[in-house]
Amino acid sequence: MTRIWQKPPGERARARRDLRMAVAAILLLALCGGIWVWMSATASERREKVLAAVPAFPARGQDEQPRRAWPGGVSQQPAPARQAPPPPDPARQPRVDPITSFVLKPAPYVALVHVNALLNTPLFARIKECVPAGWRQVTEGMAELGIDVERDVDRLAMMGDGMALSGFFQGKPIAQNIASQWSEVEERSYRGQTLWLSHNMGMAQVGNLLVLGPRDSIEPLLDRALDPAPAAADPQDIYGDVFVRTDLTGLYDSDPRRDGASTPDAMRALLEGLSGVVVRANVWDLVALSVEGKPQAGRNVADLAQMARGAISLAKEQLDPGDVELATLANLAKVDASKDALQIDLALPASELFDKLHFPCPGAQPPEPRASGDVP
Amino acid sequence: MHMRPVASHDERPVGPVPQPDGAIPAVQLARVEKSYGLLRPKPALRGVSLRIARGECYGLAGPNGAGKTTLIRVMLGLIAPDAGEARLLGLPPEWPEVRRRVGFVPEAAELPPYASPLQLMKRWARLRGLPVHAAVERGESTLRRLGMGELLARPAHRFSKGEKQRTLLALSLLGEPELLVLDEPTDGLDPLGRALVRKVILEECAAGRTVFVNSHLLSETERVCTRVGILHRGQLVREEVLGRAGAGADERATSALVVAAPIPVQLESALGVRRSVREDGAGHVYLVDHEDLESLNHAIDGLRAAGVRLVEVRRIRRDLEETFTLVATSGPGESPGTVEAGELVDAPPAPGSPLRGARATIRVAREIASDLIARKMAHAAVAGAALVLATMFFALRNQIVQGMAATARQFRGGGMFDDAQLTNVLGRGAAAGEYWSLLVGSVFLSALFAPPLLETRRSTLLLAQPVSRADVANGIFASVAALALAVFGVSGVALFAGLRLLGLPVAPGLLLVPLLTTVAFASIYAGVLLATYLLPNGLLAGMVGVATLLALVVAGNADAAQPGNAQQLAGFFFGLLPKLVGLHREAMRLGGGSGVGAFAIASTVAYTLALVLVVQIVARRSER
Repeated sequence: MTRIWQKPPGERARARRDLRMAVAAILLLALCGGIWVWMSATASERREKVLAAVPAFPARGQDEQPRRAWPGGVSQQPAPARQAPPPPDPARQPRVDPITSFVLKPAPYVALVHVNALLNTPLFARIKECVPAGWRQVTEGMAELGIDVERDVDRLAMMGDGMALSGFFQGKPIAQNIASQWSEVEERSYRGQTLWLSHNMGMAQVGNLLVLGPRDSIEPLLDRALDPAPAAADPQDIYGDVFVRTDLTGLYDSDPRRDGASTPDAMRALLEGLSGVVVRANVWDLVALSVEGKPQAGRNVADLAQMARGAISLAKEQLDPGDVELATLANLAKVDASKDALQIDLALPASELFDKLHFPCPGAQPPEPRASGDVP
Repeated sequence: MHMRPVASHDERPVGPVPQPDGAIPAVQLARVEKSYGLLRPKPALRGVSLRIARGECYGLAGPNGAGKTTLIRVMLGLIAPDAGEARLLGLPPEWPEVRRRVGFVPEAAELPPYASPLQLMKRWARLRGLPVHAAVERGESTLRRLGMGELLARPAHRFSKGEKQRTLLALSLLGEPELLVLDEPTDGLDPLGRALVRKVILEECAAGRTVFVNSHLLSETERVCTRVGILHRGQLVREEVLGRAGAGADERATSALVVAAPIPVQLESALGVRRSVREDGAGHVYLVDHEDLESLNHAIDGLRAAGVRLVEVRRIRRDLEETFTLVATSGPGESPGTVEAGELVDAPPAPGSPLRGARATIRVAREIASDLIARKMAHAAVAGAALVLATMFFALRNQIVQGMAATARQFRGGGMFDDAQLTNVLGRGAAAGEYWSLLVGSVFLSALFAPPLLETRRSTLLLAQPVSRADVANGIFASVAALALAVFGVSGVALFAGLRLLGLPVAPGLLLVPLLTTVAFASIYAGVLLATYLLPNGLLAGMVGVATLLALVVAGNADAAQPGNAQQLAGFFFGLLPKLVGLHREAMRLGGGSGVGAFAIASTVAYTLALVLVVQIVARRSER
């Protein structure tokens, strides 16, 4: 079958075909650009959300800034701004209260926890949501002793053989109440304070301070609280919602089963190069951790810093690029070795904790009624 | 008008009668115009109309520069006309399926140099989508007919010009084409070669195949064609039917005497012969008008008595000769008139396969890859990659090999890494080194690939096959990318094996890094190919490749490259770009034994596809 040529030249058809291909090319590129912008916007939101949840890294003088519960609900309050604290005033002698003095004195291991501050963080609010029964049990038990956990407790200091608790205890027979639950209680006076002693335990209350420990250690523990802090100790060294100081002795030697079993290799290698470590942490929705360590004799702090940087770099490179939250936290990590001491700042994700608690917590909402046919 | 030959040199067969009007002509041109040059366009064709019936043997003659080759290129759809239309077998000539039915011997085409005629037969058969075995058998037979029986296994770069032409003729006949187009088929051939080519053309004409012969030698077209057209300054000024019974008696006879050496002017006058403007590869052409054979023999006797060596005597068309003389001697602006043809007649278009483009791309890619491999380009590329890797190893041996071992000892000794972490660290380092060294090296190689593949003498042969320009562009891209993948793969295996031999534990994922390097390379090469289509220059291609690489590395390290940092507009533009730095990170993850993220790969592939689409558009536009 033939036909007489009537159409104009095929230029128009060619142009249409080229136009279709050009449009396809542009759409293909625009799709990629659009996806990137969408990913970027989403990532930006996620990043801001994570940054808002990270508290300031522990810094000297931070306790000068009061931390109060957010009136509209602690979980909605942004984390305290990460800003440099005011420089300490050398002329001003800070007041050294008994619990600070308790912590300042030398010990292989000592920790101080700002319980009141922790209780007013979103992280703790979530934990309370996750374990409502356990929290209720704690508060009720403490109430029987005369302590309102959420209002009365201020700080908790711990060391290897005892602990001290400060708060609003003045005029309340807290120690007496605790001792009343013991059998065969012995009362004795020491340095003008009453000691309650059981067969194993001992306890004393000094105004707003409770001291608790093994029976044989209660007097040294009380001495530790009542004696003035050593002149060389600087109370301004103790800052952070959680403060831990350890000389690392016995960390591996005392328990061979722990040697290498629970400590990650990279951390163990670092710790072995240090003679002592001070860990400070601020808590909000997430945890801002600061580790300060003195190198052991013969170890170069720069080498240790290099190892720490390598470990952090390795961890960062292993992150999935789509995991904006972890990448954001990883970017906050910092290693400093400028003052003869190794300082590592890390923002720790709380996702692992929440995973363990099965967040969102099953306890936060009543369990849905089971259908009658469900197999238990 | 018909002249009976006076000598046996007239080998024309009895010409086939053109098909009835209702049949679709083999070739149709309607008022075709074509100019070259942007600022001062120089017309090469000026309103040429032509119609060649099925089974005709048509000769196109004209002096050099008349526009004959341009006419053939328009006729075959190798270039698009500025105005007018062309049809081959009733269909647009740029349609690949039409080209499948056409055999073409281009003028001075470049054969793939390292392939023998037999290898070329196989490759051409694959390129045309023919059953290889049968096609090669037929091709071998044609080569023997053309006197190439002894040269079947000789590489083409050792051929004389005549041998190349005969090989091209055999290749053009490979698919039993309905139309055979020969552009200067006997140019540069010795007398024996010309005779062999003429013989084959005459056999094809006698077999009923439509043959189109273009020659600046009127004598060549006269000998084999049944109709001759004369092109002058881009216009078809005359067409004559030759050698056909009943064409009309010549009023006066004229013969051409071809002699080995020029005749003195005095002898010309004495014998009544005159020098012809024709050219003839065999010698100098003189014309003698004669009323009968006696006067012709008188002239021949006079020449022989003067010691002139006579090469050939043949009868010619005096009116055609006069036209040709007029054409050859006329000045600018003088035109002997133009030939008109009827309206175009179209054939119904054959249904096309949706996979045609993909198949054609694969065929072209195979052909180009065969050529690159035959030219040892693949070997050169592998050697280049090995050199780059070796240089990298040598320059950074302390950091890479000793450094890795030291790292292994130090960290293992310090308990910094366990085995899995050590494998991760070493694999990531090796992947990064492999990725960047091969990518940077291959960008320079890409500058070597693109321009030669688009060289006109080389690509004409390819474009005369049943493929479109877009297929050729895709084929070049696919073959070079496949070659790069092969080179990267070999290098990747060598690196992996080398590191394992050195006792450095690296993850098997390192073997997949070449895939990511190829994705990155392809995105750069697409830009290089586009640049080459726009301005075919090796230096420019290299500059485009290097500039693209540097720009993408800088962009990949910019703030906009970090999700969450990108502002809307900057992020959008970054999203359009290939993610070379992102692919580097993915390569390191692969080397470290981790899984890979998809976005960097997907967006780079999307960019490459988009650019290949643009290359196709530009390739098609390059017909104009």
